[in-house]
Amino acid sequence: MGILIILIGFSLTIAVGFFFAFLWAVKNGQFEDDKTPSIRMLFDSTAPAPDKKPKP
Amino acid sequence: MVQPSIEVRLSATATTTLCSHCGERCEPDEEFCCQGCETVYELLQSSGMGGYYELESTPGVSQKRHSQEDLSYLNDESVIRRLVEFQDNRQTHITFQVPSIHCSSCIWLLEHLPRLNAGIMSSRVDFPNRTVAVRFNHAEVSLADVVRLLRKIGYEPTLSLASEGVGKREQTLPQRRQWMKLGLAAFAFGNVMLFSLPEYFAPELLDDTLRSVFTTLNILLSLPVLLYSASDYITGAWQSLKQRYVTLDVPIALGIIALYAQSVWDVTSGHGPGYFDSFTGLIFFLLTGKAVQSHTYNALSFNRTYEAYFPLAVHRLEQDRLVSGAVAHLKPGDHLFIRNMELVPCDSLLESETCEVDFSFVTGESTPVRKMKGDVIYAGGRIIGTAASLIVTRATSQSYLTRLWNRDSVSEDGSRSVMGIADRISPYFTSVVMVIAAVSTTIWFTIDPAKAPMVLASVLIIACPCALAMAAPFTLSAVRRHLGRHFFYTKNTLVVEQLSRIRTVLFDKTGTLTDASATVRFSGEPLSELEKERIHAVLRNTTHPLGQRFDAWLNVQTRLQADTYLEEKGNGIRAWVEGRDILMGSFSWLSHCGVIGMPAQAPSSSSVIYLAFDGHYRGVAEIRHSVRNGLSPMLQKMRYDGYEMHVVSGDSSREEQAMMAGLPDIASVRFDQSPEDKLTIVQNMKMHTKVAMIGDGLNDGAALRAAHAGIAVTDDIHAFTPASDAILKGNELTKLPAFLGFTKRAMFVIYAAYGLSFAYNVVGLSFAVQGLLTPIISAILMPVSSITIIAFTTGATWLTAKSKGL
Repeated sequence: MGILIILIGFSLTIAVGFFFAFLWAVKNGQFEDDKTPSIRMLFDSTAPAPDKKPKP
Repeated sequence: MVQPSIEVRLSATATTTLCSHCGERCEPDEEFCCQGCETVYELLQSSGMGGYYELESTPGVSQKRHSQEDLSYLNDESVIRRLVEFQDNRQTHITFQVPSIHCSSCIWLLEHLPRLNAGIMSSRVDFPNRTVAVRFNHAEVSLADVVRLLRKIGYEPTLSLASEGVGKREQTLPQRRQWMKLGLAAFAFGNVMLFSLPEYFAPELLDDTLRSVFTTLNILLSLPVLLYSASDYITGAWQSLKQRYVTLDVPIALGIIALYAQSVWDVTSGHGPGYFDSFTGLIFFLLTGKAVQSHTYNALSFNRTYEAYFPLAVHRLEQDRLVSGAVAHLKPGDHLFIRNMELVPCDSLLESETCEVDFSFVTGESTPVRKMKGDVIYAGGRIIGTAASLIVTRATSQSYLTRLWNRDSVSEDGSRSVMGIADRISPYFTSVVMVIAAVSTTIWFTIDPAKAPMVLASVLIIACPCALAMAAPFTLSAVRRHLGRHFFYTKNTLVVEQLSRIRTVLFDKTGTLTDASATVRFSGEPLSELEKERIHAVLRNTTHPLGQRFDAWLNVQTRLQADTYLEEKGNGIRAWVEGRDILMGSFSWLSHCGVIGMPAQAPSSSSVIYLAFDGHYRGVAEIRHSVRNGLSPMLQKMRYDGYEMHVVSGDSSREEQAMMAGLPDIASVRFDQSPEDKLTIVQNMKMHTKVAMIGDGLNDGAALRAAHAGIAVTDDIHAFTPASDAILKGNELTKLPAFLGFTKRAMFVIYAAYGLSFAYNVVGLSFAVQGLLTPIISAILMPVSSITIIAFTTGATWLTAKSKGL
């Protein structure tokens, strides 16, 4: 039965990891705008960018 | 007279072309409808941003109504501080409200702003909110430049006295907290259930170590749920008890506490595994209901104050010099200079000889009003035609309309009467549960005192009104979604409940019952195509509302140009088109100009345009507002459904009155009503019936807020609407009987769901009072009841919507 406890330890660690990933997503504002990213990802990033300035 | 026939043929064969930028109809053989659109097109093509036109066809925003407002006030430090969110010595962050965002091309263009101006570091669109968050280096570009750029490409941001960018952040925080609470409950629920199932199905496999590991983990996992996720219910219950009122939070909090206490007791005394799975599941389902209920229409604003209507800046005259200044800083005695189509931001006296003001949004008058020197012009009027200079008499915040708007009695009266249905039945529910708990506990004291506390806890646990708390949110949210699909946007679920109880409906007239567009009746010899083209060539230059309506009614395009064009304020237009002298305007003006063959007497209506060609009278166009399409059948249906309907209008025009009198289903028609009159009418009616006010203008603002349900009607959802409970798109007004009927039926769905949850409670309580409640019974009963309630309410609401044709 000892093995079960170790496995539970592992599974809980992973679950907690995902839980924190969720919290991060909420704090990042991903649950507020669920429409724009779905459109944004379809834009071609290969379009010519003439005088793209490097980020300051 | 050979020429005309050729011309007619020409215009008949010319195909209608659409503007390559905005898709609006343009003059034959032109690629763009106006200069502005062409400029944007060329700008984008030359910056390598042609991709804008590849994502969607003609995605642009028409540049015809391009505003020319001076932006120098945006260099004012106090104005900037009011608008921006963040500013350090290098960069500025600002979020603009841009109502004209409408498609994926818009997003693409607005997110590529850095390519158009190197000073802009990044821009990010939030489509549901219709906002663009821009970060720019203010050493390279000024705020005014950024706004100018947005305007140039057709995305004019809304800049008003109400600085919205700052408020948004505070709104999102509670929303985020709610998501986190829900996530925590879901996480704990899933894991606790995993550790609880072995106990139910194969207890013989569990040895003591494993069992204690499982229960310890359960306690640890559900503790944050109790302390964080469930905190709203416990504090809510405490608050309501302090105010000696029993909301639904009270029985829920009782159930939660009993559940957790009993579980901890079970575990520590070695009685059993406790109810941790039921506990976390309960919180999870409750929070789901809350999350569903809290859905908001982000892009709409139901709480607009007067500040959102007025512009940020006006032109002031200072020692004969025109300076641009913030409206907030205006004080009595300041001289204003207001141009065509600009708003008067505060109550003022007219200093110019005369001017025309469109008060349709403020008072409901359908035709522009002529004001003379020394007349008072109330804030909110729109100057039409020639610019006017004014002297401020009251600051914006003190103006007649804004004071009416801000009156406390209007904004918050009877907050208790707008309590949700669940909270209203809560006192009865709680007392019944209390009686059952007391009776069964006393009986158990006589039979087996040791078991009595457990029975008490069992009753409180099983009677916890989870299903009750979910029925209303799920049903009403489903109703809101269905209504939203038909462009009827409600502020929250309470509004839906209010709508279901409405008995009396008050309508505003201008813009609500009557269409924004008007019909035109032309008396005289019908106009030939060529004549129409000539008139159009003249009228497309005017900003006068009557002229524009006449122009829209003509519905022609032309290549003709007016050679000379002279618009005389308040009188009419004189223009030359291809050697023909065209006169259009008022009766007195045309008579004054010596037109031959004028009718003998002056018109009875004020909304007329007289027309003369080469000094000869040609005819008269009478512009009248028409009632919206399908209005009559709608009113008939509503009367059949038992609603009482009244019209209250700020208009005083006699023709309009006659038109309203022609609607037989309306109980009363009141004209010439001031905003205050409207408010009084609503308040009086409120005493004995449930009132809905339906209006569109600032003059309805107070009445909309006072009514049980205030519905703002607008033809453009993203345009300004006064504060209201719901926003309805103008052309959907005729669906009103279906909307109201739907909300009424939806309440029956809620009652049925209550019946269902009551049945579950009877079953559960029968176990509880016998002292037979075990974790497994609770673990089955609670999720089953919650899920059936969700399924039932959503399904039944969908069926109801279908039956109402929504």
